[in-house]
Amino acid sequence: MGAACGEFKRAGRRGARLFGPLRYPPTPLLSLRAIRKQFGPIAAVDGLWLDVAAGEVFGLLGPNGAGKSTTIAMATGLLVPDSGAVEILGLGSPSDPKVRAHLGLAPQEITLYGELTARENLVFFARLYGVREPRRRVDELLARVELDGRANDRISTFSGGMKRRLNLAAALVHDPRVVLLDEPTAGVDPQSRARILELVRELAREGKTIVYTTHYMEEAAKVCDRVGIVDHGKMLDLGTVSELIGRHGGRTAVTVERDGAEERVLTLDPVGEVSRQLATGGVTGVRVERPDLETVFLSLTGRSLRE
Amino acid sequence: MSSAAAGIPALTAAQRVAVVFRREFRSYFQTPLAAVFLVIFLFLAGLFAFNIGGLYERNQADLRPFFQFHPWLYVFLVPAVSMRLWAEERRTGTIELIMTLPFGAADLVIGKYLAAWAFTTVALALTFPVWITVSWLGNPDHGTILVAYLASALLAGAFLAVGSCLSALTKNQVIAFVLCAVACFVLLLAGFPAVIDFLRGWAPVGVVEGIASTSALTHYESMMRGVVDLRDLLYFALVIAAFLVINVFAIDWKKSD
Repeated sequence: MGAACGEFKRAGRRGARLFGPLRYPPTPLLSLRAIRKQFGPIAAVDGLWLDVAAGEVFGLLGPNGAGKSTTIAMATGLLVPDSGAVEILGLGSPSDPKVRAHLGLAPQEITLYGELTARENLVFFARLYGVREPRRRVDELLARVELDGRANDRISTFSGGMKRRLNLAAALVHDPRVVLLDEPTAGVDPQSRARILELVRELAREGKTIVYTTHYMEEAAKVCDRVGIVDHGKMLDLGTVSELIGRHGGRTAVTVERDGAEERVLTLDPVGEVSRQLATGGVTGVRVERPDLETVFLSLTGRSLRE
Repeated sequence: MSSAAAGIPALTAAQRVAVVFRREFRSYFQTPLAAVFLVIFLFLAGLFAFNIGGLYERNQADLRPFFQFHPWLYVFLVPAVSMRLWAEERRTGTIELIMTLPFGAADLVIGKYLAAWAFTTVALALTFPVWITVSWLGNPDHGTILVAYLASALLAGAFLAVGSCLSALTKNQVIAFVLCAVACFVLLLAGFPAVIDFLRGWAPVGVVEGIASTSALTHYESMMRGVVDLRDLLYFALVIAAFLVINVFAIDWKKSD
């Protein structure tokens, strides 16, 4: 632990100051090492490995029941792995309350007090974390999630999207270094979704490590530096979106329209294929369908993400 | 390494308990629960004391008829307060967030428990007009009445500890209510005269006394006479401490449910 902690100080703090925000510093702030959790006969998480670096947004992509929330629960100390280990900032396991001080969690469910106002909810958590000047910090966060105008309203009067934004603010109240967001955009309106995604990108620019679970591929592709495809509790593969598509996306479909008929060609060289087709003449339309994360998921699991 | 490393000074346990206490205590008054509880408690306490207990008819300047019904009132009213303590956190999912806070469950358990106890003590304190009435009509032993108030508060505290612990086991408030009411009833039953008489018929005296000493009723009635016996205080302190410790383990055990 001592060595890991030393490495973190060199790479994370000094590195960030000298070279600007590091996208992939060598020492992970969140490490999951072969974690496993069994519920009865079902292995919810089955030997999952993951390292997430400072300033990185890591997306855990998988269908409902894939083990994403169980992974988050183990990463925050809510669940203890049956085997394997979780390490935060090289300091130890999140079952240690002092280590948990560096974690911020926005759970999948709205976890706020309905009878309290937005400000009262955040001030309560800020006080429990011992935040200096809690009211100032809370006002700053309310403005950041664009709820400053509703600060004194009870959250039972809020829309789903507003509650989600406030849930996210509660996770950030103590300025944690590692933020775990479990399906933060589930069931929200487009405006709130856009604000949440924008905020995630801002947090990453500030150097926070973010783990983001979702089953929306377009979101994962938009905000995550790296994505891990999870199914049946296993990490099937991980990498940047383009790496995953390169490894598992297969060929690009080029559909050429000629004389009212369509011809579909699968190719690894879509630009060359389009040029070839245009050169033959008589082409009235061309459509190129690149593989995406859905294709990757289908290729890795044999089923659609939405199934 | 401490939470100070995250740029935040670590709070003491007492400060954290105070934060939880304030929020929890205020929350009683942000819902209709406080008003409903206070009205029902004051109405039933008065009804039992004056109509069933015959406070006036006895022609004695004491509050015995008033206090003797408190255990039975608490069997139903205390679970109404304690049922929401943890079951509500579990139902709304807020337990997930509070269990990731950088300290153990003990501070949360104590803070919530003290708030509930303070609330029931407020309800008890609001019965002071009965004391004033008796003082106006006669010359009661104020020391005895004060000790009886203390006994009543301790009994409510013991029942709340039981209720808080049982509330941690479920997300259903109705189940939490029923479990607590049954547990409190059992805690009283062992000291109930009819039960003791039944036991005396076949059990050795030592066993009967042993069983009776586990009853909250035995210790409550002992204090109601105006005697502050260390054994009675110890009994209530032990019941409260034991159930709060179990409460902490229960929260930790079921935190991710």
